[in-house]
Amino acid sequence: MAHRVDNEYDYLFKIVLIGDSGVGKSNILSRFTRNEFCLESKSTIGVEFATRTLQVEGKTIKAQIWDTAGQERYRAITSAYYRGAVGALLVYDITKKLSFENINRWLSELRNHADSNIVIMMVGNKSDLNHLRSVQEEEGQALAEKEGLSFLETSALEALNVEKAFQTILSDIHQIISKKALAAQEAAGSGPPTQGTTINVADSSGNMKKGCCST
Amino acid sequence: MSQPHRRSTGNGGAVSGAGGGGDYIKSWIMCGNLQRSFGSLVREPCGLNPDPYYLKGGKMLRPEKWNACFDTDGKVIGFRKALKFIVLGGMDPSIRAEVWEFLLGCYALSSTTEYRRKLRAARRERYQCLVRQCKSMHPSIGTGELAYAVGSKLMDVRTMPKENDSREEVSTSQRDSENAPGSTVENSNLNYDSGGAPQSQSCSKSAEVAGFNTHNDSPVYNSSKFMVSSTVVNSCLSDSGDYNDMGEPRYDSETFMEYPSLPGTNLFANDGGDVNGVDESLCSFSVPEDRLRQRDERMHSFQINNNIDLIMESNSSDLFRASNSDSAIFHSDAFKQDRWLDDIGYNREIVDSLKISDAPEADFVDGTKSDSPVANKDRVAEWLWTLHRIVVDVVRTDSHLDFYGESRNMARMSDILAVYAWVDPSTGYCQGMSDLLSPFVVLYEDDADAFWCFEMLLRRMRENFQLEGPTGVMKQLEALWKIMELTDTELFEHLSAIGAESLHFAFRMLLVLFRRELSFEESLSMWDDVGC
Repeated sequence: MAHRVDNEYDYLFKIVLIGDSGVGKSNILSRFTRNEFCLESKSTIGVEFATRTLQVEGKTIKAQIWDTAGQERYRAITSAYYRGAVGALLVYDITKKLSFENINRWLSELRNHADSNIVIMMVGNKSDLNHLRSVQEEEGQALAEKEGLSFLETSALEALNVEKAFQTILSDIHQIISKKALAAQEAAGSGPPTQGTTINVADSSGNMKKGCCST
Repeated sequence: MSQPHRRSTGNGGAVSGAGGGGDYIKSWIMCGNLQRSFGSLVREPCGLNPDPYYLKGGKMLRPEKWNACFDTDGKVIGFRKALKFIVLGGMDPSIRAEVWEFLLGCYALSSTTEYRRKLRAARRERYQCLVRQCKSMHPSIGTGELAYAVGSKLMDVRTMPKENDSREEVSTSQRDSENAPGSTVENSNLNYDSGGAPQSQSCSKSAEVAGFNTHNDSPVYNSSKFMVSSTVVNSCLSDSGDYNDMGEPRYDSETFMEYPSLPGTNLFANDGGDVNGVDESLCSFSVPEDRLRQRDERMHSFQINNNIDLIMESNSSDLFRASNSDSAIFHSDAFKQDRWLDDIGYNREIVDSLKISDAPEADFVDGTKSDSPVANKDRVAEWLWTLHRIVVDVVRTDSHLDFYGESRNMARMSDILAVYAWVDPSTGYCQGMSDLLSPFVVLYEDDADAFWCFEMLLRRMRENFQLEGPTGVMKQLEALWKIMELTDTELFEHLSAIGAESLHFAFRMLLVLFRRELSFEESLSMWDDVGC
């Protein structure tokens, strides 16, 4: 799927994908932006990004999604990528308890580095691996409620709920932006639409061509 | 020595997948039948037809030209000319493995064939000892099996090892090995580091392992083992002075550094003992600016420090005898740096000690008492956890190559990374390192050769993978930004206008030397050039 109709959108939203190494962030990204999934995807180095333009509540929204490396020691670098992000998908792997337990660490990471108004959605990925599940959906739901986050279980492999997750978070962002666009804009610094901070989008599409199964 | 596992279809796929430059790339996989002195050590490159693209003009470094670079003793005398050929036309893949060892500085140009042969043998022996050492901590190392498959507990490759389970698995293996006969190492409070006895048995012939052991060894162990080591090393040499000369990368001053500098050319510049040669070695780009120069100097000291960790583990450090604090020794870069900056004699000592990676060093004596058992235990636990992370990434590194379709080859990569993480705990394992190692695993038949090439490369790249973050790359990006300002005003202004001064898009390119942007074969060709 090509989603590269540039310059024709009402809003540009920057979304970051965060979570432990190996939970499937890159495949969520490729599933959403290119409808691709790659079992042999490589570890993400630094940051990768892709965009997709879609309709949300009657508006054309360009979602610019930043996918970051999960390994801890890249954290110092990846924190720079939070700048201007209006949404975050916080991903864990339902078969890896530790990735769920680390959710709190990622939340505090967001609180430290991201804009305070950032919309966070918690995503339990790899729901296709139900037989290996080590985090129950109820646990995820409970934590999300406790932290005031929206929540979905997804499967990038089966293309289950990925679209819905992005639709949900983009819609949430849109509603907030609509209500207090000004405040958000000031706070995010480079937040919402058309502010000239559409950094590197061209580069990113170049990069992403190589992102999966293409080498 | 013909190899059953060749880079055939896997690379072919990679090449075609790259699109566009198919013909161009084919030239890099063409056959060469040359079997030089090292020919038997390397994987025979595979391919079919030489491509006219590179046959034109004969600018490529061909085997016969490369052979002509050696004098009768095997010393390299025409390296500069060889570099020119590589820059102009690349090199024949059949000699790549051999040439790379010189480009990386594994061997000094002034070394003789005989010296290199012995050095190689010594390195292999040392590597095997390190493997045994690691195997005592996790039974999978050196077995051709990946850690996650040990105990016939195969994991879902699709999902990658489950972290929790792996951890349990690891501790299970630990328990197993504790109960297993012959693993006394694990038994006595992980005192393989302090006891020395088990290691000295398993490595009785290669004292070098003591080099990586001695930070916690008894003086007796140290001295006796290093006496052996010393003998081994000296027997490789006509005399120790000669050895010292050879340990120094002379060509740095003689030819290497005089070679016209191109952007990126110093990336592989040999650090060895040549202080001047080190300055820019961590930075792909030479930036003639005072401020950057200063930074380069700082990087230089880091570079030296980088090696200290190896030295520390290898030499029980009379360098730091003054220090009672183990943590200061092992973890305080500031301390090391200060010492480095303050003390010329110390400087000299380090420069001397740098040869530890060029050859098993011999003149270490009297180990100071170091890590407590608790610290060792922590270190082992950390390493086991690192091993898990390594496996997670190894299974997804260049997995499109048929070569890595064999788990045996994945295990080779995993072993080398695990050994490196063990000997260099302050770097450990960081994502991206497997991408850098992968070509060496494919290129070199022997794990030890691949390991030492990787180690030499990491000396230059190590700052990118430190715990505190990839500071090296960030500096390179800053340098790149300055270069761009001077060389490509249009691009510079555009990137400025859109607020992309950070050049984060180039982060990955620099971190893994374009392994992700180029196909496997393309990146080898690019590394050829960068190495020059």
